[in-house]
Amino acid sequence: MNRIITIEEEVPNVHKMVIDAPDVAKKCKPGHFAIVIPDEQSERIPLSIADWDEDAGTVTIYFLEVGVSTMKLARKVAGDEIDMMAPLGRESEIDNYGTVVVCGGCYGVGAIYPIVKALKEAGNTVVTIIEARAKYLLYNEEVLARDSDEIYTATSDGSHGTKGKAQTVMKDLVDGGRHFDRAYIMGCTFMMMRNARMAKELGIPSKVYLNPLMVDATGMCGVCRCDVGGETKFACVDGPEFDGADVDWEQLFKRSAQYVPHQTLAYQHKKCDIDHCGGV
Amino acid sequence: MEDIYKYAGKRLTPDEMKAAIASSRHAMTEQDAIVRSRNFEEVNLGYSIETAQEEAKRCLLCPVPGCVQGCPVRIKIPEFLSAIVEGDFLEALRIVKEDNALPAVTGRVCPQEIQCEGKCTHVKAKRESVGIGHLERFVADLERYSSEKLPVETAEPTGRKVAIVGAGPSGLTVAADLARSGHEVHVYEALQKPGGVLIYGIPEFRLPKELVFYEVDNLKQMGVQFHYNHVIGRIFTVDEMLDERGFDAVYLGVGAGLPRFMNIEGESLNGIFSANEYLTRNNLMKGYEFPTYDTPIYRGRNVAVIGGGNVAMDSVRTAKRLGAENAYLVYRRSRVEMPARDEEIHHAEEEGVEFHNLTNPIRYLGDENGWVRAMECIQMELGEPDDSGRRRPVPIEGSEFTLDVDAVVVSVGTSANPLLTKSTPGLELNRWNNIIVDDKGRTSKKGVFSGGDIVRGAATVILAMGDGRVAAAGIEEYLETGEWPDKVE
Amino acid sequence: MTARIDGKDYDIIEGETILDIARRNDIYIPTLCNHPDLSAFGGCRLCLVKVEGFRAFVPACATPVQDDMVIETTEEDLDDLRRRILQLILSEHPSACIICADREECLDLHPDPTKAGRVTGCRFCPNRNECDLFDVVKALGVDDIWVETEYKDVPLYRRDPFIHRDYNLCILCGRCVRVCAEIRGVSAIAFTERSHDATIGTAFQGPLVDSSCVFCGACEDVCPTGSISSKMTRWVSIPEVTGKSTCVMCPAGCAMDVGFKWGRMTITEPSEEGENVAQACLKGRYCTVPLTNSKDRLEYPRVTTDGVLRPVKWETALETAVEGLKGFAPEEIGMIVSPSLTVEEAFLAQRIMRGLGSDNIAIASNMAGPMQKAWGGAMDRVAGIGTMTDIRDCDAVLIVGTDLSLTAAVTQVHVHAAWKDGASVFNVKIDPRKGYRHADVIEPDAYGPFMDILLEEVKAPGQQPHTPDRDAAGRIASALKDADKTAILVGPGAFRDAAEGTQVAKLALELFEAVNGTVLLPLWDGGNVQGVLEAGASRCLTPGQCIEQDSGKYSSGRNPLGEGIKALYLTHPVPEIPEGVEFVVYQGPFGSQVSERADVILPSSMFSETEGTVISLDGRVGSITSDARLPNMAKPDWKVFIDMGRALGLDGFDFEAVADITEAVGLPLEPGTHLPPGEPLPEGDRAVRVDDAVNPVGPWPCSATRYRGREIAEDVEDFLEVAASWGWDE
Repeated sequence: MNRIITIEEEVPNVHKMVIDAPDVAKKCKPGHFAIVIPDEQSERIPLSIADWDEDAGTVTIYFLEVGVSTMKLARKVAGDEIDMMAPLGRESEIDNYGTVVVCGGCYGVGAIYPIVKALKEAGNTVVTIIEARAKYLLYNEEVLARDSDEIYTATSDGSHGTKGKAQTVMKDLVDGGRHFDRAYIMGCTFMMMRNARMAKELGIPSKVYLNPLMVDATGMCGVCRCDVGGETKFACVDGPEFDGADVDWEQLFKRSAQYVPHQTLAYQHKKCDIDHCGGV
Repeated sequence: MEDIYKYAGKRLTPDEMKAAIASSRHAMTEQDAIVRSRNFEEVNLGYSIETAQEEAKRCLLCPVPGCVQGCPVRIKIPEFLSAIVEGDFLEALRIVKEDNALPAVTGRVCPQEIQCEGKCTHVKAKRESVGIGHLERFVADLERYSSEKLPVETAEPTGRKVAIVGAGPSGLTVAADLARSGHEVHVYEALQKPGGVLIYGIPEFRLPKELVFYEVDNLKQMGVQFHYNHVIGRIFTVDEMLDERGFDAVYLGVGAGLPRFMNIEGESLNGIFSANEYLTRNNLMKGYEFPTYDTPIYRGRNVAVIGGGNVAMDSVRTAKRLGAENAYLVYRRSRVEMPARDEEIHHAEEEGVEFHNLTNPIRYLGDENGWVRAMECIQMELGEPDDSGRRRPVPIEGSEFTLDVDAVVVSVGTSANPLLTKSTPGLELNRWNNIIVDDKGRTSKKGVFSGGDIVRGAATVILAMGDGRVAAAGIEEYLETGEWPDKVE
Repeated sequence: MTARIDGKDYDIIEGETILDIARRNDIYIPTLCNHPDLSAFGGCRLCLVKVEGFRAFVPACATPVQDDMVIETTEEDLDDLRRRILQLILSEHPSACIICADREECLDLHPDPTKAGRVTGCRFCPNRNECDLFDVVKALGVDDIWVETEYKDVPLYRRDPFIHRDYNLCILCGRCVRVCAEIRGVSAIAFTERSHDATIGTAFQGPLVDSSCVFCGACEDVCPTGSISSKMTRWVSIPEVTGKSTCVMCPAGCAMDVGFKWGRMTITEPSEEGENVAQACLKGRYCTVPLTNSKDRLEYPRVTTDGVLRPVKWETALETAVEGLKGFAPEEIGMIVSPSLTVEEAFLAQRIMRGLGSDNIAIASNMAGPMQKAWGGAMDRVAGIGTMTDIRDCDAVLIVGTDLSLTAAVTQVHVHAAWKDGASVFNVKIDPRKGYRHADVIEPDAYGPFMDILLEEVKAPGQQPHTPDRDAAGRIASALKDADKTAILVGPGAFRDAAEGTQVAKLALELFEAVNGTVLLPLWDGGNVQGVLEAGASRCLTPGQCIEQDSGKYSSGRNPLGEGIKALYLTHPVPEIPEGVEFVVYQGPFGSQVSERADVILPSSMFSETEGTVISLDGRVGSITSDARLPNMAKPDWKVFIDMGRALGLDGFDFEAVADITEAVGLPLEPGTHLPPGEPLPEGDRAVRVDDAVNPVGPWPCSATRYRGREIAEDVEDFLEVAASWGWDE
């Protein structure tokens, strides 16, 4: 069991949690994720590791409240204990490629930090693009700016930065004459799909971080299997980093919808369960 | 020391022998088939004390007991049966536990019909064997329910530290033996609960999980420390355990958890699960208690399970209990060749599972949302025997047919999961990624032992436990002598 | 009279607004704060139109139309203004998704809303398929927001029972405030704070459960965004299968739309059509689904073997039940009929008992017996007079023995409509519960004596010395007599004691006649008491409510919980199994401590899973349909009765479908119609036609907080909180 050091809501619905995990912090690498189990009845959910501190022995994760498990996590307070199994997944492929663009959306805005940092340390010129629906949903900008050579923002409603999405900025930059050797994209599946397609169109090899359903995350059950380049891969042990151009996105969406009825009913059931009784 | 031999060498009187020969096996009380096919409560309800003693009296106390030869860990069967007859139940349990650390488990899941019971003298005379498995379960359960517990002695602490990777049957057996000898034992488990296949693979209606937790508690009382959510190879490696964390030896009991798919068309459709996923959701994560437990499990109405082993039986009976109107078992060979336990096949038939033997799926058909809706199959016939000695199934041309299904569980076997072995340099593997060990459980890496499914490929709980005993003895020897062979085969 | 709109002439009706005419003639004018059933508010200003001769644009919703008015609903400046107004509204709502070009593709790939803690866009919004805001955005073609957007970041109100409030989505249209005040008569919420901080809230921003909110969900229905939503259905989105059914949680019999998804019942909402005027109450709207899907449902037939109730097959259970019942003489067998059974099911139940030769049938209802005794002798049938809708036209309303918070709660909507038209409302009740806020509440010491006094004051006012009760009675009496139309509603609170209940019922009828009343309705303590009575499932009654006094066909009917009864067939829990009872068959959807003592348990259905007909407290026939899958081996009650009848070897159980049974009942059961009202008999023909044995003395486990004997709170925890905060102590 690992203790929660801090937890706070960064922007509406995005929570940041710092967990005490000294052994894990020593082994974390960019691209790794953790399985978190909020309580005895909870599911095992995969969450990207956004940062770690070897000296303090802590690990940081960002998550959106989008279901029962994240709801339970969001309700935790500092001092509570959760089960955490980490670090999992293959390390990201990091090398000096030249100029790289890193795109983050939703939880990705927080979780791309280790990748940005590693790419910078490897000698790349790092251009970071973060997107959100509106200005009030952007976060982590200063932290990312420290390790990026350039940082751009995109909002769907135009309230900050470019009006549009990360791929809009990517295209604008390329159209304006920039050249990128690689793209790293992390966010919700829809966002990654759009950006991977744009990267392909612009001729940039891309890496995405797939987040299909997972149960054990050690390669034992196969629920996370997805088609990449015509082959079946397990996202938990072969990924989660894959080549964006090779992913069968349609299948990924369909497979992610396998348990929507259950997840929805569970969320409702638990909301009535946990939320009731006096006080706002 | 006399106690050990208290029940050895006993013989029956002529009258007792006559009665034993004339007796017939006492049936196990079971839940009604139709009713139990809808709930997850245990199917077998256990012997009462009277029935157990009557059944134990049937043992002929053979001078050369075939049953002991049939048992992979050589439990002193006639002795413990004699103890039951005398009402000395705690002693009976002690005798069993000399060789078998988890009798409550093995009494339920061992394929006794090909092990102890298969070699019973009664069987040679075409009678039913003594219910050895049921009696093993009886003594274990009795102790668990009673307030009088079997005392456990651990020797003085030796100051040696041993790490066990995997809290499955073999790991727990090694832990029991080493803890008893006074060593400091740490068990590292990747999942959040102990038991391995006992907790994620075998369903509640065959093996209630409280048994496993009871045994683990016993181990904790003996001083064994459990660390959950630790994936060795990721959080730290075997080398780090030996070099930096002060472990004198490491035992690898990580099992064979890699699921095998058939790689036929449509296998990635929604509703097609590996048996590992299906059973893990149901057993470890208690999917059948959804939504009290959060992990969902898909409750298909027409469920097909591909395979013929115990895992396939577990899957298809689970499907029925989750409310399937039709639960099909699709196996490419015939009924008699099914590797599953007789009792499981029998129970499955009673519960209304529809068996489609000599049938193999060719591909899966889906709907526009990516859900499986039908399975195209082909009939098989048995041809020439293959390497395993069993006749090879051959498709019959033109015999294709379609089965309407909305869920499929693929249970065609598992192989070694490379997660640990890949991160442990110096560990010699065979071509199926199984670890190579010698007859003392030693691997090619000094200080590292192994046993169970990671060595044998997918096998049984009792064999894994047997390997555990062998390895524990090997570890004891190594801790004393520090010797390691140059080559291991 | 005519007005010209956009160049065309239209007839106008006196008192209409411009918006009314436009709506009538399918002319589009965008609105958000307006709702056809509510008063005009003029808050959103989207409906601005140009009227010739007027200085500025005027809101169409609040401007009465006049003869020869010339109106333009569209024009460049006007359209531009509307768009800017809409953008201002959007600026404080998470609108990024509403105006996003990828919205359609994104929502297609996520067919159900992604459940989220805070809604930050359409993808996470439970209201995305019915969003009035989005409809207006689309109609006006807005794809940009020229002002700075802001997320209000107010705390989510998630801890109230049943209702989830996210005021970060609120556009301050005020519909919720108006429906609560104008239609329900509760006024639990209002506009609070001021200026930029203005928000909807309760008094002192407390939780709803501490306010006067009755959790009827009317606010949820009218909210144009996802700001107010039901915690239980927020994320279920569009049902796969929908149907029309009737609610049986109380005898108001509201018409409901039911939805099924993923193989289970997911939502019950009031229908647009129906005498409940698209309103429901917390039980019908929020409690039906959790009860139906409860994990405590009885799933297997069980038979007691060796003192333990073991699950068995249906055949075994029925055999055991038959064998058990046949071991007793007909006069030793009793049956308790649940008031939640449908007409067809009750009909079959009484057919079983009469087939066995017994008339020891009682309805599990505190009101049924006393009412049968009081009205059964004085009217041709035990049935109310007038309908709930008739209440709206009354000038005086008297409610005795309940407070309408949970008992036939929808009746309050009609009472409130009457009050708004100037009616006086009196509520005679003894319990200290919420009550209708505009009622004149009288709390006598006892109901019976008070009704006596009231009748006296009506017939001979002012003759007796003053007492507080008499003064109050005097007030009521004069109001009732002055009124053109009067409504008298009698509820379960007055029936805790059977004798007092009989007295109250008798006096209510006399009072009704004395004031020439229009509406006299029993607010039964069970969802289908009226229907069960019509089906004849009570001692001395036969289908059609014919009273058969000792016709010799049946044994002399006894109290099923009284002396001499040795075997019981229960379809509803009883307070306790009487001493001499040796054999118990229990049929129902839920267990109870009484079912633990049963010899045979037959798992059956909730009303939401069966098929048939029910009759409301005002004689309205409603039909029940369902697409639900019963849990495990449970069967609908009607099927269980058919199986029992056949197993007992009785005639008349050759039914294949419910429609056949409906036909056999022989009553005019056309859904949507009303049965004839009760007809008071001439004085001389009145007699006590049924004696005390007709219904054993309660109190039965029947109250507004129970369904078929089961405390709703056992399966709907939030209900317990609500009931506790209202002081329900049953």
